[in-house]
Amino acid sequence: MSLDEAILRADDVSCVFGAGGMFSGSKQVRAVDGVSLHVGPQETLGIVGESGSGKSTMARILLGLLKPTSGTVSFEGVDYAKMNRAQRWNFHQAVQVVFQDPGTSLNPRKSVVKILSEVLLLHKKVPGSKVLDRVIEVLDSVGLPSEIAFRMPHELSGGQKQRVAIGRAIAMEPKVIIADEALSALDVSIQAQVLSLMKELQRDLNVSYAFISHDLGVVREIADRVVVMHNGKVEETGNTQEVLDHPQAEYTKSLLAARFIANPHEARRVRLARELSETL
Amino acid sequence: MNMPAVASERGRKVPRPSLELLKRAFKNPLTIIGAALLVVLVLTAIFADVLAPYKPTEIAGFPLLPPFSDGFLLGTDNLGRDTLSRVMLGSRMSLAVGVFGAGMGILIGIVIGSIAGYFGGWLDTLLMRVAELFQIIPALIIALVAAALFGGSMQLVILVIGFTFWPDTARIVRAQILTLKERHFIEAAKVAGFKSRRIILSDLLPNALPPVIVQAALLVGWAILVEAGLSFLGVGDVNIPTWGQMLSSAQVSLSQSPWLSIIPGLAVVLSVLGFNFVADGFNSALNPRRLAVEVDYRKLNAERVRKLKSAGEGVTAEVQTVESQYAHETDERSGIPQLIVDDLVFNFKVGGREVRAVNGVSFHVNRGECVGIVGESGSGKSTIGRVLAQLLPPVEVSRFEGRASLDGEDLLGLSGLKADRVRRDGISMVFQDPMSHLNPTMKVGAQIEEAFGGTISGAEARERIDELLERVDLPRAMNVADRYPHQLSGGQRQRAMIALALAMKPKLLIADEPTTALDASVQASVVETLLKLHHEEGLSILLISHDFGLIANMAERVYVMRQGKFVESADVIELFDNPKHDYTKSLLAAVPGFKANQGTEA
Repeated sequence: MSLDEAILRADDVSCVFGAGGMFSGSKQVRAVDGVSLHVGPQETLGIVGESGSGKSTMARILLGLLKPTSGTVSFEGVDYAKMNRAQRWNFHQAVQVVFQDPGTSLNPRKSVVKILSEVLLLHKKVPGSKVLDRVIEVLDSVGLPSEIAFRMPHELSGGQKQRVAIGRAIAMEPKVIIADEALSALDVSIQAQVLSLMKELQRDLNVSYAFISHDLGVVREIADRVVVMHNGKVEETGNTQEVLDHPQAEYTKSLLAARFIANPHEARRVRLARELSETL
Repeated sequence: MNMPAVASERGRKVPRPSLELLKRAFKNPLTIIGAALLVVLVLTAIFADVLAPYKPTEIAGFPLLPPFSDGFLLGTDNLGRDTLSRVMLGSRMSLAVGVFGAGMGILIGIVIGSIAGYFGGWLDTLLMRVAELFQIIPALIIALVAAALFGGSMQLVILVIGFTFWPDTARIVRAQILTLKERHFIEAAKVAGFKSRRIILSDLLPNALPPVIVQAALLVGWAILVEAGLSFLGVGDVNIPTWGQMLSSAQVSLSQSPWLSIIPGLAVVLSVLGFNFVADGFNSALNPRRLAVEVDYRKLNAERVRKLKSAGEGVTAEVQTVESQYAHETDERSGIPQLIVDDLVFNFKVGGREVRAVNGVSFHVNRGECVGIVGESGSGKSTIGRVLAQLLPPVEVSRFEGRASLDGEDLLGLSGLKADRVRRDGISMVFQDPMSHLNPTMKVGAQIEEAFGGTISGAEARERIDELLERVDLPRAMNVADRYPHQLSGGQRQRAMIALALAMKPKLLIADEPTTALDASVQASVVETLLKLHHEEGLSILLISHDFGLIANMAERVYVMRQGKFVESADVIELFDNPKHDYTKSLLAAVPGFKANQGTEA
């Protein structure tokens, strides 16, 4: 894929917090520092890093919620800063988000049907009379029964809430979904279900994902390409398999080494090896 | 989607949060008294014309009749007008000024508060400075000046109250909006392209309003007070009877007939009190912690002992039977298990629904062993640790049964005070979130010294603190003892909490998700520290986690927990290589990359 085909593209983007202002003596933090990345059609880009790596700031920049201090972000070749009304409207439909915490990603005072129908009506995706049918269709495609529609968020489990949040994103028929730690707050078994749902939806709807996560295991399962971020900079980028199996950057290697492997044999071997090397 | 789960959930009726709030507020008897006062006030104001025996301005009898005079229940004033009728009609004015004045103040406050909170920046700074300005000008003085300029009228009083009462509400709404703005559903609405006005009205305000209800009730009370003060001073319409006016005219005959002052005064006090009680009720309901009852372990334990005794079994014999039961399971190295838990049941109630958190679990931890309890959220795994340490947040306990012993000594209060000591000296806990378990206002060293319980102090204590911190890999050079928790990184904080736990020289460390909140690279090093303490110092650890990676790296034996019960227990290698229970299998299958690891093993 050439860069021109990219749906979302960030070029040399930096974001500095605490710059200028009334108390200019305060410390400046370069949360994102010269990052370039792109998301192609029907592709999943994994953005990996630990806390403070700038990955969530990058997510907010890609979503248009935060203006970068320097650099350009573009959607289908149009700079965010130079979008006209129609282009911005189109952008609001085409780029959607799923957040980490299902507890705060749904308005606690709105029922599921209200949450899903208001976005459908805002973008006039369906005529008013067909909204309910479409809501039920959306619920079905995220694996939720139709009676969920009349529930309030506090009546749903964490996994169900996250499915509703995904439903809200796909209801817009987006081109890209930015998933910011979308699985981190879920139990492992629920994680696996939501992960396979996301893969399924990608196949059915031709949607791209920018999948932001600290969890290398999850990223390996879903991402085609991966960007490793550290201290606001890109440490390494490339094909997921390649980067995770043959990491080049020291930081990627240390990330991979630090991971707990859910395998007691391996854990014991590593421990014994260390003890042995210490005694020698 | 698995249908059975849905079917079982359908029967569960979860009350709406707003209803729940009302219910909680009315649990408080003062709220009921307050509400009753308000009902009387409102009904009197509405039906004053019908209820009042005389017209308020009618000269109905002799002047200054005392209360309980024939035909005049509350007597008459200096002109011979019926006091009861005047108090009843006076309630109209008070309520009208209170509701409209405070209502206007709240409306202005909501608008200004939401604009300041949502848009922020210079607009926020400007609006908040204006609010401060209004806050320092007393309403009464503005009202007097305005009355002098424009003449007194009821509308004027309402306007003045409205324009001086908004800053508090504005501040509350602004603070609410500032925290709500960070919620993901607000960002999702922005991403979807909703307009700011729509986001404020539809998403932000409905969630920001509950504390405003409290403020509203308080303000109406205040407004009634201000209205009484103003009409006492002569601002307002002389032709409409108000409580303030009654107080004012009663002055003349204060020594002769004090009841003329007492009656309208009482009316003001009771109305204001009514609004304050209701406000207070809602305020407590919004902070459920204020209503929650601390778990009284002393009482619970006493009940448990009574039950056990009435079952006809010697209590100490009980623990011994359990020990002999376990004796064959333990190897020679460790002897009797350090921790024995037998048939522990712990259920509690939340919002009227019973949570069967722990439902009959038995397990043991041998001396110097690291035992894992693994399960998903809601499985009850954390409750086990907290019950053993008796460190539960306030809940209403509905069932608490079972026995536990540490080093052969009863742990759950079978023998009263002694169990407290066994628990305090024997068990320490490390939690997931060190920030909320360390005191933010105390230096780490001082917190550890506190844990020594005054046994040592000065240079000796300092020596011990440094030693403890070094044991958790925080070398002297880092000077962690002289720092506050917020000055430490996440990993350092967690180590500081482990040091704090070790200060008590525990026999058993209960580690509840000790690494979950940390980055992967930091996780590994904290695990390294815990394992060092375990292997080199023989510290027994009960590890509670959802993370199979952590369990594989630390635990020697594992219990798998689901819905308050253990479904499987095994040696860690056996559990991973050869899981028996379907639930364990499904959990392992869901671990990302688990199959891949199995592959490399072959």
